[in-house]
Amino acid sequence: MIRRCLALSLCALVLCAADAPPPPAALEPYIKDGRLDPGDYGWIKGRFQDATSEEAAAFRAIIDWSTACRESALTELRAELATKGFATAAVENVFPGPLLCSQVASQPMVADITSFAAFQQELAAPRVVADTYLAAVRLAEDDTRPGAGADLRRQLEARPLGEQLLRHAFTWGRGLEPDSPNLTPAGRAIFQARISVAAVARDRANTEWLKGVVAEHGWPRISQVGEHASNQAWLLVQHADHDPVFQLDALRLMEPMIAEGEVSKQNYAYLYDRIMLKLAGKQRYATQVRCQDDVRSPLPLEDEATVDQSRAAMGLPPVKEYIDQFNRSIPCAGLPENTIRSQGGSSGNTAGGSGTG
Amino acid sequence: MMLRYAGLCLAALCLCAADEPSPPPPETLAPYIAEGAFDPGDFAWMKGRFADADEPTKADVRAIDQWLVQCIESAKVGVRQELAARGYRDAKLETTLVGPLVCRQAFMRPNVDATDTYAVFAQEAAAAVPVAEAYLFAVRVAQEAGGPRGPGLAEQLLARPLAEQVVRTAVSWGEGMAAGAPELTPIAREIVRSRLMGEIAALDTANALWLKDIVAREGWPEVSAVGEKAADEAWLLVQHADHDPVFQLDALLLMEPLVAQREVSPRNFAYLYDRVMLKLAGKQRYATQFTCIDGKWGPQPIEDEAAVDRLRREAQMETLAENVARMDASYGRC
Repeated sequence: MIRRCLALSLCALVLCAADAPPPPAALEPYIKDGRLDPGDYGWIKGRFQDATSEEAAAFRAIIDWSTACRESALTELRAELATKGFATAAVENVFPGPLLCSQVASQPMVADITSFAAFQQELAAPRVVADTYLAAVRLAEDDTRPGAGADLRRQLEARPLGEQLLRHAFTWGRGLEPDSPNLTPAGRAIFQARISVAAVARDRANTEWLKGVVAEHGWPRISQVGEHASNQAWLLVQHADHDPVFQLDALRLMEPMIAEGEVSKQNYAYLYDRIMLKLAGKQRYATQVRCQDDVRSPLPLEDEATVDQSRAAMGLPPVKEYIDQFNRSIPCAGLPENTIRSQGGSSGNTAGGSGTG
Repeated sequence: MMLRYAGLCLAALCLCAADEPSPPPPETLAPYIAEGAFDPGDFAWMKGRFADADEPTKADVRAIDQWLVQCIESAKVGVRQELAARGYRDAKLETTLVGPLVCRQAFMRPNVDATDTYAVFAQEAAAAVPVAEAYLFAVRVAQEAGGPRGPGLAEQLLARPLAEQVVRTAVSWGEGMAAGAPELTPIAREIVRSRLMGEIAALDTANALWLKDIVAREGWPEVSAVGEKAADEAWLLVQHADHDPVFQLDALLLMEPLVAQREVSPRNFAYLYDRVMLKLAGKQRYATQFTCIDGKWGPQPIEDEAAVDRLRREAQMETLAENVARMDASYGRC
């Protein structure tokens, strides 16, 4: 009972600290259980040329609310990172703060469609395809969810399935998933926006869950949960990009465990790079790469001269080999410019499925 | 190379053993068949089922129906022979769908109202096919992402049924556990269901072949060897191997002596017993197998109705009434 109260008051504190104003009225019909259901996208009608001035104003109110909500979360994040020694963290691409304001940012990229009427026509096909995919994800999760009383290993092993399925769907129709059903370019944009709204919610739920696990058990050790479950715990942190503070905390918990063989060196290297690019603008192990003019290269490095040495220490092949292999499995051609990805870690899953850019 | 030849010879022997080899599919179906599986595609092969079709197209459909019956019935002859060799003569196999995967899949065509026009149906199919494809695509990704955690038999058994389970759940599209699936028109829902049933047939067939091979080499997976959950999954795959009653019977016979040794769950044995005996004798003992009666779930014919709840209790199962209530809750009306 006391614990329950404590938890409740902590929540209250967090809510106060975030100080997020309530979402505008135009968004209300699209909020279900605190989450965004994009529905018929009536809430973005104001984006289009055939919108009334009231509709345009309602949309601006939503965007202003979302921006304000994010800005206040970013201010808070910067302050928290400063107390951890990162005063100049580059968090422009981070979407912290309440779930709803970050879900609102996942809108279909359909610049070619100028009227809401035309958009509605494009919507029908991808909407049912996306909702079907999401239903399949839920049912696959239901089927694999460990029973009550399952140990931490089983829980960790099962947890990432949903986010993995959602990440696979991002590459729909880009040739990476050759048998994904056909959608028009606009249809694909709508499909991806709907998947993205779900993925944002899934990642946040996973992060909160893992935080609870780490608070209770510490960082999951390989000797405790096995290699696969340890990899899955890392995967969830790797995808907690909305919460760099938790990523940093996890990195620091993992660091001393490398020498003991209780975490994978590769996983540590991938997480180190992911975080340090955000916090210091540079990575050490060249795990995070991007495509520019169809050429794949690492994002800025701490020290170019020693990178292969650093990689070798973490059990990673030389940069050239990594990039060649990456090019063979996912060619740059066809990927959107500046997509930032990484491949591997030791999870065996497509861990780098989400771009951070 | 040697192995390949041996496989071919064995296949040839099997074909000879069955008296009537399955007839080749009619030409209208040829574009929909690849690598031993049937993909209903655009459903144009169903054109002749509609009122507005011309006579030659209707004749094509009659040829397909005739082929389907021949394909399934000729396979039943072979299955009956094998069952007889095991001491089970005159197996009923009334509602059992056996034979090559292609026939079983083609048999699962959507049930449509023949008074509709093909144009209406084709429009519904164009909307429904991407939905079914999206679902099946997600299932393939799930099977890949949820693959075995290690090389051991237990891990492989644990991972194996995911795809067939997730596809089976969706057959009740919009109801029961699949209540969250997007709303479809009745015809589109029927088309999606038909496509899912075809996929279930393919998955069950592949799973049965996989398990058969393991059982042939290592015997029935015992609880002490693979753990309770993995042993359950092995049973599940056999339970769903309805297209292969001989394998189901063989597994049942292997499981029987293991129940007393606690190496097989009595509940699993009861479910498989019923499944097999309904096929062979038309009656079940434990009332585990249900059918749809006037829109409600009820048990198929029972050996001894008075004894059923006692037998169920001995097999550590809930009462029949409790089971019916659970069916209603998970699968919705039928």
